[in-house]
This record gives sequence, C-alpha cells and structure tokens, in this order.
Amino acid sequence: MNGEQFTSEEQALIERLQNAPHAHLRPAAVDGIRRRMLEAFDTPPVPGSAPNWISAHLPIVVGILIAVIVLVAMWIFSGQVSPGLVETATPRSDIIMITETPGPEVTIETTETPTPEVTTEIAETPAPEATEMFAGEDTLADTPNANSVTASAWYDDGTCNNPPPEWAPASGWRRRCGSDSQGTNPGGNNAGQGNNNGNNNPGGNRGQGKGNS
Amino acid sequence: MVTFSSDWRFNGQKRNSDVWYGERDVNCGQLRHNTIMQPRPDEYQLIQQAQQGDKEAIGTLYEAYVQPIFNYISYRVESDQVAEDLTAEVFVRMVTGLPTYQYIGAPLGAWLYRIAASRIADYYRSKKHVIEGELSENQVSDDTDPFGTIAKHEERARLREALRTLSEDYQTLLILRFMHQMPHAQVAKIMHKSEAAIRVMQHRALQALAKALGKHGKSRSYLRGEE
Repeated sequence: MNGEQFTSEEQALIERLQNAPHAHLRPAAVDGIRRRMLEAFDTPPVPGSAPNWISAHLPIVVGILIAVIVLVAMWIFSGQVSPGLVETATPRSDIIMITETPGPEVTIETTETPTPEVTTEIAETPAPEATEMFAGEDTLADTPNANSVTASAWYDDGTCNNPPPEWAPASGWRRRCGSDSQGTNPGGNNAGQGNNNGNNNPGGNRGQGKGNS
Repeated sequence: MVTFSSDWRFNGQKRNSDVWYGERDVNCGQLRHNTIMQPRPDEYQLIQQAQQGDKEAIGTLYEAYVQPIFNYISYRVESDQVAEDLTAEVFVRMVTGLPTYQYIGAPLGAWLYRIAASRIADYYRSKKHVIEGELSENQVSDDTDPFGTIAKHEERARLREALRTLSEDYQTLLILRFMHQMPHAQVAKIMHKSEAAIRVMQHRALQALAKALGKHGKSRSYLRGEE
C-alpha cells in the first residue's frame, strides 16, 4: 500500500527535489555550534528551569492545590455551622440542650394580651366553670359584668332587688334603680377603669338619662 | 501516470520505509556527515545517557542530526549564515530540553525538526533578515568541479527561492518528504497531521511548487535573453 501514483510532471519534480543539492556545514561552523551547545548544557538558563519543573510536575501541583482548597473550605464551613457542639455517635438523654437567643431580657408581667381593637383579660385564678354573661338591657358599655379577680359574675334580672356588687359597672341597673348606689359606684367608674371593650365612655352615661323612667 | 513507491534504495540496499529515511553520506572536509536524517539503532540509549549528563552521548546525537537539520533550515531561510545560527539555536534548545524530553518511540529527529520549524517561524516574526551573498561560504559540492559547483548552487538557489514562496506547511512537507525522503508516517508525526492529510497535501504542495518554479524559470530565462 506504499505505492503512490503521481503524474509525470509530479514525478519529474520529485526527482528534482530528491537530487536537490545540499549545502554542508563548514567544519568551523560544526565546531562552533557544538561549542555553543555544550556551553548551554554546562550552564542551563535559570529562568527556564522553573517552567520546566512546573510543567513536569503540573498534575501533582494541581492535586495539592485542590486538596488544600478543599481542606480550608471544610475547616471554614465546619467552624461556621457548629462552633460549640460536639458530635456523639448516639443521642444522649442526659444532656439538656439550652438554646439562648441573644438580646435584652424581657420579663412578661402582664396578663393581658393585646390584639387590635380587642383586649382580653386572662384570669390568674382558676376560671369558673360557667360564666354568666350580662343579659339585661344594659348597653355594651356595661359589659362584661364579670370580675376576673374573683371569678364571679353578676347579671341584671330587670328588677331592683338584685343590686350589683361594687366591681360591676351595672350602669343600667344604677340608672334604673335610683341614686342610692351612685355614691358607692358612680358611673364614672368606667372612666377610670375602662372596660376595655372598645366602648370606653367615661362618665358619658351619667348625663344621658337614657331610660330614666 | 507513473507509480512512486515509498520504499527506496540507497547504496544498493532496500530500506524499510517505516524505519529508515535513506542514507547519503558525503565528505565535507575532514568531517563525514549524513545529509539525510537516519536514526541510530542505539538512539534510545544515547538519549538516556545524554539525559544523565553524558557529553559524549550528546556529541554523538549532535553529529547524527546537525547536517539534516541544517539542510532543512537552509532551504527555508535566505542565507546559510542564518541557517547556521538557527541550527545552533536548535541544538541549544535540544540540550536544555533533554532533561524533560520523553522518548515515545519517535526518533529524536522528529522533535528536532519541530524545534527547527518553530525557530524558523520565530526568525521570520522577528524580521531579522540578513541580506544573503550570492555565494555562501558553505560548500555545495566538492571543489574539483567548479562548473558543477556553480550549477548546483544555482539549482539550490532556484529551489530555495521557489520554496520560500509557499506556505510553511508546504515547505516542510516537500523538504521532509522528498528532499529528506521521509515516509508519510514520520512526516505526519513531525507536522502533527494524519498520514491521509499528508498524502493529500503533498499533491497540492507539488502543484504549488511547480507553479512557483515555472514563474521563477520564466523570469530567469527572460533575464538570460532566452525566448
């Protein structure tokens, strides 16, 4: 398969190239080149040594660099995630984990949980089994007639025979049943306490004379 | 159409095209050089010794390759003086690169030709052209036939001038494949191309050279007053 086909013109040109005269190096040139080569061999250029060394050991250098980068990354990553935790092989029940949240200490003393437009009072004492809500003709401004401290409730039965306790606003009962109890429980009581039902009407009920029959 | 075989005979002995490049020893003063590159059977051993700092091995490798490398360079530059300088640079590169040279089965010459091609390209990039004298100090042939010497010198100048009008690849291919009579496989290794590419390229290179020589020949004939 080494045979090749050439045209006669190509063949003539090939023969011409094969018979082309060659110049020969002068003996002095041969010796000069040899001397120059051996000088370079005896004193190899220093700048050339570094790239040669790097190119020869490039895979090793790259491998070491990658290993160092991975180790540094692992060290940094592990330091950020769990600075004080020590991993154990199995969970231990005798260790209580306390999570501290940085920030100022706040003591929660109130029993009120504010929500928009509504304030709910939570009793500190056990809640009554049943709470009787005010069902009389009083306005919403008077409700609730319940004492969260004593966990008791009063309701207006529509007569004057059932006077409200002092803590109950019962403004309707008080308007209807006379001024006896005003001295003990003025309508302005609401103003000071506020029933916190959103209808705080300080002393307003007193001058309205509603239902004063 | 004629058939050209990659097998060839020199000194009456047929060589295997995969191993030998040919052989033409010439006398040059007191020195005897190979005009065509021929790898030595003990080349691998010599390379190993040279890598260990054996100057004698380096000298042996130098003598084996200096003339073929010079021949290759001399056809690609305008003067033999430049060719000498570039040849020296090639062998300086050889000794500085030997410690990291890895023998992969190809002759050392393949590496040296690549260095030479690189140095020639650098030379043309640097624009350090030297005006060539028509007759150089280097001998083209023996001195016993002055007319023959002049004729050979003219022929060499014509080929050199025509070759230098071609592309780098064409120049290298024609010099290595036909002047240095290397097999396709070896040329392909040196030029970093496939054998098939070399086979195709050689036809185009020959056509380009014929065209360049035709122009050159006509101008010469015109200058001599012929036709």
